[in-house]
Amino acid sequence: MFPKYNVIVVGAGHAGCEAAVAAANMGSKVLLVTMNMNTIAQMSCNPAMGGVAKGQIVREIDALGGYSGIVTDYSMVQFRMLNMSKGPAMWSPRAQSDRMMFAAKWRDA
Amino acid sequence: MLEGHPNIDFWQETVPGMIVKNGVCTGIVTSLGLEILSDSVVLTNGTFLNGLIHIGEKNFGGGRAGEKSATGITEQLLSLGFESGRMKTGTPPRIDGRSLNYDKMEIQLGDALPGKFSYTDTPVIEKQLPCYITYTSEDVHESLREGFDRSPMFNGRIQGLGPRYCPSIEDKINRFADKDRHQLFVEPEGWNTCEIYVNGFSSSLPEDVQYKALRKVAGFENMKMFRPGYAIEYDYFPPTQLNMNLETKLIKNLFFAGQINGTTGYEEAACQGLMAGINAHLAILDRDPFILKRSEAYIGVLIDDLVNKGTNEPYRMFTSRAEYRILLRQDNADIRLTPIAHKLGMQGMDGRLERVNSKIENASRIERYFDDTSVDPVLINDFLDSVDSSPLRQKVKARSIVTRPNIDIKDMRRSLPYLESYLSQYDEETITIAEVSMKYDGYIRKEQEMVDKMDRLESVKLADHFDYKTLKSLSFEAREKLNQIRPRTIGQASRISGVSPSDISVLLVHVGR
Ligand SMILES: Cc1cc2nc3c(=O)[nH]c(=O)nc-3n(C[C@H](O)[C@H](O)[C@H](O)COP(=O)(O)OP(=O)(O)OC[C@H]3O[C@@H](n4cnc5c(N)ncnc54)[C@H](O)[C@@H]3O)c2cc1C
Repeated sequence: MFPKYNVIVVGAGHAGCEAAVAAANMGSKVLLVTMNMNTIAQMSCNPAMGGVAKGQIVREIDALGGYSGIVTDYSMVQFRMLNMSKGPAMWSPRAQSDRMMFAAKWRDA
Repeated sequence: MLEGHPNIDFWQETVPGMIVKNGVCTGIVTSLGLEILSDSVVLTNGTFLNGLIHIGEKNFGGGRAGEKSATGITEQLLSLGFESGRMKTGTPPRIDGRSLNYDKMEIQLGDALPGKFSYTDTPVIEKQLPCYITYTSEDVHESLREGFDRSPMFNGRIQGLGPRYCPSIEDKINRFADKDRHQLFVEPEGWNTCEIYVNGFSSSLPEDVQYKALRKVAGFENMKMFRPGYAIEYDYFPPTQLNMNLETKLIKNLFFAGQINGTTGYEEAACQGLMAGINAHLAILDRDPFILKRSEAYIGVLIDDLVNKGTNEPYRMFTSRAEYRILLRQDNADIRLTPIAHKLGMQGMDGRLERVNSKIENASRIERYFDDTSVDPVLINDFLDSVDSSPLRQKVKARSIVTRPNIDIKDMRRSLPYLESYLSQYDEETITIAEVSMKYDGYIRKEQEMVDKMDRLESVKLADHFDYKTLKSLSFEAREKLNQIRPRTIGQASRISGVSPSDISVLLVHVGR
């Protein structure tokens, strides 16, 4: 039923989704296996991305070709740059997300 | 995104184990008993491995509310010689936004000029939703305390260690007994739903206790609940069992990413996924692993911390974990990393690299403009006066004004029409890069010097298979840790907890430096 893949990713949470696209964009044939395709890229906890230090990470993911930043841009309901009163090392983007749009955008064809 | 990618196939099933032969992973088995082959496997099981959900005195297997937990993988990995641990995390109740009285709360609006995350041409949000802020009270705390004897946290039923920085409300009132109120953020879950996330009220107390206490919060008097908060315990694998490329030391071609490594948070999980995905690909081709340095990215800090220091409580990122904060800014991530991704061969990076190069070029043009352009006291003194900066007596270069505290380019261009007309050809991001570079020049240089110093240690390689037990002048702990973690360089060795500066001197002598 299945060909042999280069990379199998088990789980389609935030780590699994980024792993799948990263390997695929490097040129690997990828199989994403997850127990429930209706919960791909679920935000299990708060409907938000970024924040202090975490916002920097999302920017880095984007700079390396990952999709978390793009998905967040398409699904946010609010944006704030935190710590603007401090120096630029502390500036941190944070977005409030539409939980359902976030997951749908990740899956988007 | 995922479905738009021709290289990605999907399969829905629970995976109870991997195919492992002679220390090499060659695929997975599924719950239907299918064997699917691959060159490498990335495990990203999150909170699902033997997940156990707690609400008050009730507990049941689950990986997330409404979803099954996953068994088999932990057991197989243990039999292969891995070590596992147990952690816990929690989430607050979700409630009905229609039942809240927002007049009793403070409104929190988004930025007037919102930014975004991606360096690509994604849209900037136009209309935004507000969040609200409210507070707990002594009354609320009293209500919660009444349920403490039924709390799985306090009666010993939960064994795993939770995130210290994202504590449950019962934890907060217990630990900070002198605080008479805690802030709660009332956050919408989306455009087309009235569901609300009560940030700050994570709890595993019985649902009736959560309900009663929440109804005493200002604005929540008529609150209706959609889903109670809960805690979840799950298995993780101490990340010191990984190499720097997130491949396990024990099993070749098997990679771990995300919460399975003891981290918490979407961003922490996502960046590990990205790195594991890239490295799984590189390993197949026998290419060098992709490792980011602590001076290159927060992602580098995160993975370096995990692999070399390990973690026994859920690890989340803080700016304080990074020693080169002024280099690792949110405004320059593309300049730092896009060229690296391009060089690696990541698809779609050609156009993006061009963009970064022109951003760098334009930013240095702007800097040169500030170096070359003089400012006339007559034109700028009113502005300087308005921001309490001392007036000019004679012409000076524009750069010397930008570097003053309290001054930013945004205000400056508003009062200097010629500056405005020059800068209008550049986008905000490019101007920010130039401004930060001028204002923080000294700090940036100092950090760069530290990085260069560290890089020299980073370039001193350690042999792969050396037995540190034979190096008797090392401390006992250093011998153990070095044999366990097997650092690739002296720099990496220096960050292992238990390896002291004198151990590093021994290593330097050993490698002939
Ligand atoms: C109740 C709860 C509270 C949380 N609270 C916080 C918090 O307060 N702060 C914070 O920063 N983070 C919190 N988080 C953590 C945050 O959700 C995670 O850090 C993040 O989602 C981890 O991403 P991941 O990709 O590693 O795993 P997950 O997002 O958990 O995704 C795992 C994926 O793998 C799939 N899967 C797992 N096992 C198998 C298997 N054997 N076969 C097939 N598929 C499988 C699952 O279906 C899921 O799609 C919380 C999570 C939960 C569940």
